[in-house]
Amino acid sequence: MEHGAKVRARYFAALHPSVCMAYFAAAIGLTLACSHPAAAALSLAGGTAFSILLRGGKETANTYKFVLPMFLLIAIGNPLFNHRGATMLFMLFDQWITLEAISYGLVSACTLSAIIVWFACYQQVMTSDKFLYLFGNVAPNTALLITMTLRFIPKLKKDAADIAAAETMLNGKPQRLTQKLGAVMRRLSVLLTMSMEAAVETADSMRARGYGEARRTTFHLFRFDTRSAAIMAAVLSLAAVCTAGRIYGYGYMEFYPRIYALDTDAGGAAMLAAFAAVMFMGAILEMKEAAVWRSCGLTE
Amino acid sequence: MALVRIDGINFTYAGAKRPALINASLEINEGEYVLLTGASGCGKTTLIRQIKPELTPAGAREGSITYDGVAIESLNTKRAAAEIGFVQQNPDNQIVTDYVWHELAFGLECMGLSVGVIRRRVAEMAAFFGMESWFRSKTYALSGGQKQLLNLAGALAMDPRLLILDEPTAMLDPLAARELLDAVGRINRELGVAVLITEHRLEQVLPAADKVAVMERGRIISQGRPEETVRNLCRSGEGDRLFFGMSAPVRIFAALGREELPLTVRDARLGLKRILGDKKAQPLSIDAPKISAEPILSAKELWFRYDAKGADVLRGADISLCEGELMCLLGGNGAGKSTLLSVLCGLNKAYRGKVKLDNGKKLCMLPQNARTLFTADTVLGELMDASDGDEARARAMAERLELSGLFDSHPYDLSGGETQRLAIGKLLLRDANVLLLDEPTKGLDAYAKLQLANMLKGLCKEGAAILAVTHDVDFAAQYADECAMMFDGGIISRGEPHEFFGGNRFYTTDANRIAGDIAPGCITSGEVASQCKKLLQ
Repeated sequence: MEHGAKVRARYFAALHPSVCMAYFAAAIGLTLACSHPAAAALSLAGGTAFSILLRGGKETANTYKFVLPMFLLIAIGNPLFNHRGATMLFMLFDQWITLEAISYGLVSACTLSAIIVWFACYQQVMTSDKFLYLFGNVAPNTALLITMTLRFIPKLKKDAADIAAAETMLNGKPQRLTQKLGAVMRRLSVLLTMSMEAAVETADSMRARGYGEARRTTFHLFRFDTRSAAIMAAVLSLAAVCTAGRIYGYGYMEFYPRIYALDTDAGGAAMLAAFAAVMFMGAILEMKEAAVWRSCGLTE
Repeated sequence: MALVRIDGINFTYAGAKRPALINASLEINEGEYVLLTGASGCGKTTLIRQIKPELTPAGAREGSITYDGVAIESLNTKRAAAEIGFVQQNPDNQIVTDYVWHELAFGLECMGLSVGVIRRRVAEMAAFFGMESWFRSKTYALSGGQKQLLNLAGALAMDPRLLILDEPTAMLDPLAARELLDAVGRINRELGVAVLITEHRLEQVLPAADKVAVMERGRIISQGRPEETVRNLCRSGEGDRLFFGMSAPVRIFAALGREELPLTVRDARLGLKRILGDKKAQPLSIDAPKISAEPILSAKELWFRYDAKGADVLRGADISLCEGELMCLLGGNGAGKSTLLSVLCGLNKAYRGKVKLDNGKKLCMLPQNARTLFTADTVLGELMDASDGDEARARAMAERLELSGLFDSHPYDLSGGETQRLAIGKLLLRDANVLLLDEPTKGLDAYAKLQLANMLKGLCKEGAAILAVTHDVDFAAQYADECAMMFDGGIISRGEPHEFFGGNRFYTTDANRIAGDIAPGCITSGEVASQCKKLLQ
């Protein structure tokens, strides 16, 4: 929830952090566990849809600027360098290109792209305060340290800018490289002195309020409401179905030496349906929320 | 029984030769509002830190301090943390966490309270201080006033019986300072929390205080009810350093030799009417020396914005500065004063309009945080740094700025006034002769302001030109050659201080508010007093 930034995560942003965490764990974990063309495609499609709804088309396109080259690299690279597999298609540079290697390259590229897209969504939803809430009670002092760092960074930036301005005022704009280096060193030293002085006052302020007197609790503003409970139940049961299916052997494809998968029966179909439900749950909930908002007259 | 009883304590800092506190005694009763005042460096901070065990500096102490009947050394640490709240000077450095709601909860988290309890207490605090609209903001995005209010609320959330505030408004502009002091007053009146505050802005704190203690060189030289203490101080002599810090009502009445000393503008107005009846003074005639007409720094119709999509901060601002002139630029928050300075000194560039500086002149800006200029470990080192190692020049500059006794001090150990002077000294050694100052009087006590003003006037006599952005109306009225008012990105009026303030009813000095109708044209307490004396003869 950045101040002033456009808040797009309407539905997920307001869910309890444990639910968000469970959802992303399920989506990313299952994507990793299921090496299967259908699963990889579903995950990539679901994650991309979720990303567009959460972060907007522009941001998603930015992610793809990185994802697409990586996808091509793996998809083309694997058959070029990996010659395992029984179905030989043609010769290239005196090496056999096999169907299995091409398929495997495509599926791994797809899986890896999906995971990157999912992590981009994760970053949008799981803001620092949510993360700290989840781990604050396990390690309260580490959580406090992270909080303090997050508070310190913008202050450091501002101080650095002020110091740079003052330095320019005193010594003019540095011209030569040696002058520039000197200026940087001076600024750093001033910044360090100022920060240490500030740290003394911060420490005083902490001690004045009883830091170290008792085991810290970690305060938060989150509530586990009925909506969170419902989504949590859905995520857990769907993830359980997928896990059971995966343990039985569905949702996995052998590539070498020959492509083989155990998914032609009803069980396999059920497993993929549950998998698809997990992957598209985020996008569908956000879409539903957007529609509800429109019907309430809440337009952007 | 007193809540806090300080009984004849002496305190010497570890490694120091002379004691910082000498035979100091003070009592704070339950629910009492106590003001501790005195020139900077007199030992106020040292004294109040003795009452907060976590913050007591290292050193040797004699004498006893009790809190609620318990010796302060043996007070339960958890109790001390919760029941004695402490707010320091710097709003920024006291904040520990990144969100407002988290900062409010910090002390309660340390006490190990459950989330449910904290939630309720935090909600109470937010409601008491009216923080709802910025409750979920990041702390770095707050204004200085909001930050300090947050620090106050964070201390109050622990449910203290005593709040100690160490110059809480020193870094705030007057409006934010007033809001903070109002909040302190409410805490005292509505919740019955005892308050011990050190503060330079006496005009607002004096009427609210139950007791005033005055310190000088480590001793408490006077204490009692505000009126009595003020009377004692005024009797002790006009040249006294502390007298400069008194508010306009007190100074006017003391100069008239009256026994009763009003503490507020209202009482002073009524008091003067009673003394003078219907008598009215002749309008004050001013023979202000005309400054040479050719400006050395001029800017015409400056337009500036920080980013393309943002709003204009400067909207056609004009300004000109002549040689030997001290100009004060006044105006509310967000009027664009600091922005104008940054454009004049070239840190930002106006997208329309030009800044013209005469050949051979060098313009420098003193940043609001003067410490950003300091790079060395000693005062002499700072000056040598700016004089490129020329020790004779550095020493001469120190002589001129009355810093000679402080050569070996660390720049961070200087008082507010000394910090300002050292920073200005560095700029002067770089041959600056057009100075832009951003809030130079912030956090200075009245005597330090006087010293600064004398120094600035001296520089102007030698041909420097100074433009100071300030909120300090009294400073501008007393020392400026010219005042300019900035509003909505432009200069809306400018003039000699008497004509500038004389016509205003609201935006003016306390002296003018008190006697604007009786002694027209008077804007300082000295002028009001001398006009009234004439009437009484």
